[in-house]
Amino acid sequence: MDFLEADAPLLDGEEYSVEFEALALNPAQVEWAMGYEPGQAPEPVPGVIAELLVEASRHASVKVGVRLFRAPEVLLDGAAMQVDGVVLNPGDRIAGLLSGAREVAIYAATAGSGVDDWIRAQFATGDPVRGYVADTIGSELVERAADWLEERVIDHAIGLGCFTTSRFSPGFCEWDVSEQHALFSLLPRACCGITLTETALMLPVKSVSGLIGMGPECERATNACMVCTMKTCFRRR
Amino acid sequence: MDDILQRIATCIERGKVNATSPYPPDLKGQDGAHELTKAALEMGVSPSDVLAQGLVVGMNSIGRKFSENKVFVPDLLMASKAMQAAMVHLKPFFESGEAKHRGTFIIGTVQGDLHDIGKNLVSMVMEGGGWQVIDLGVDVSTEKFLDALNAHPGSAVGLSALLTTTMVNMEKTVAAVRAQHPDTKIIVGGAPLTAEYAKKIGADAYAPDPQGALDYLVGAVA
Ligand code: B12
Repeated sequence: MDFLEADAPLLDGEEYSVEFEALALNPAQVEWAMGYEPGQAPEPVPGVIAELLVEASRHASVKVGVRLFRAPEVLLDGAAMQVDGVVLNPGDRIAGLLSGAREVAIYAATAGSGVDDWIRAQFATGDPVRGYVADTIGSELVERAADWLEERVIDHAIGLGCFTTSRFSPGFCEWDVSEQHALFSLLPRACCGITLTETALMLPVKSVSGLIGMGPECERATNACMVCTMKTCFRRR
Repeated sequence: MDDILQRIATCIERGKVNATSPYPPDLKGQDGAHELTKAALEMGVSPSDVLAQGLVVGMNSIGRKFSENKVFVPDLLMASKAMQAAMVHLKPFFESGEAKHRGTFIIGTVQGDLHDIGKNLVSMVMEGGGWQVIDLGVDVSTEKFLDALNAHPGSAVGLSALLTTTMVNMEKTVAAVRAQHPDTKIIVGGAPLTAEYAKKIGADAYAPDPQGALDYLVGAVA
């Protein structure tokens, strides 16, 4: 399926292509992702952002894949959970925030390999600022793609009379990155064209994965930094 | 002389490459790192002084602000561009031996990992700090680190990783380096790293940012 209408139901096992425009990525978000307060990036950064946002639209091929699982396929047990027989170990903190979830959405999203190539080409111009701006745009694109999916999951949850948790990803909090292998075993094969290396790195690099819980008592964390354990992060706010 | 070195330092810190570069706007039309470095050398300032009192001062200052989250990656990249413009004039002196690097630093992203922005920033700051940098790239095997050390004995080594699943590959590299070159200073970094982990795998130090690497190595080696 290509584009999901705003009110169309979210389909289990589906892979969606998301239009660049639908992600509404703006310069302020890119500045923020670099650590600046919006409008505070020094010259020539704002001009480079404006130029590369236009270019990015030609290289992006944003895809989001999702699987939906519900009880009894979803079993929570302390710091671990079982989804369709696959054991995931997100750790106490995340498991606590997932408690009460009846249904989970497991997802992966990518900006596409064209974006990885485009970023490399920007670095190859010899101007590392262009390279880094392109890199940040690539990261933001895939984060916005995950936001896009999250909105659909929220609509889906409302239809079930449920609320959603935040998005949780292997590699955050106490959830080990190596669990990517278990998570991907729950997604369709070669979901969105993403492959996992032995070291659990997703290729294309500009990809993310995770899960969202749904239940009548579920809640989203108001500030993601509060759940994250990385104290030295330049984005910590 | 002090004035021109101070101006070089300012150009480096503010990313003013040359006279024609329009950034930063308040220095528009003025000479940049390129012209001032050339002029300083022509005035007879020694290459070592240009390095130590110009370039290093400028890079240190921006590196420190970066550590304090007062400036961000693009600011550091712009500074390193200005530094490279200055380095062009110093290169012949390094080659002739008239100017000396503080030491040699071999850096790479460990096997299984492809992230290079963080590593590249460390390379740039180390270079600006007066080190010869040998950048082995990404997905670097232990053997490649050992080959580089054999070619440049006495170098310090930096290892970078962005994920915990690749960070574990550092342990093997550290052990192999220790076995063959026991006196090598090894510093590790990257988002998932911690000082505890560095200690556990037998590295000498962890630094959260490039300036930390420079400060440590200046204290430990130079
Ligand atoms: C942007 C980003 C992304 C982007 C892309 C990243 C990229 N490089 O292409 C996107 C959104 C795609 C992404 C995805 C993921 N990410 Co991410 N991401 C980040 C983020 C916010 C910034 C990374 C970055 O570019 N930093 C800028 C560069 C310049 O910094 P750096 O590489 O760390 O280098 C600096 C220092 O570390 C140091 N340094 C680096 N090397 C060395 C070496 C030496 C010797 C020294 C001294 C210092 C040093 O100096 C540099 C300058 O200060 C970090 C959080 C953070 N604040 O770091 C998380 C982070 C790296 N991501 C993380 C995770 C878990 C993931 C995912 C696995 C999540 C998921 N399941 O989807 C995926 C994996 C993607 C993949 N391909 O497999 C974790 C990794 C932790 C872990 N457990 O391994 C982090 C740390 C977030 C966290 N809070 O835990 N990510």
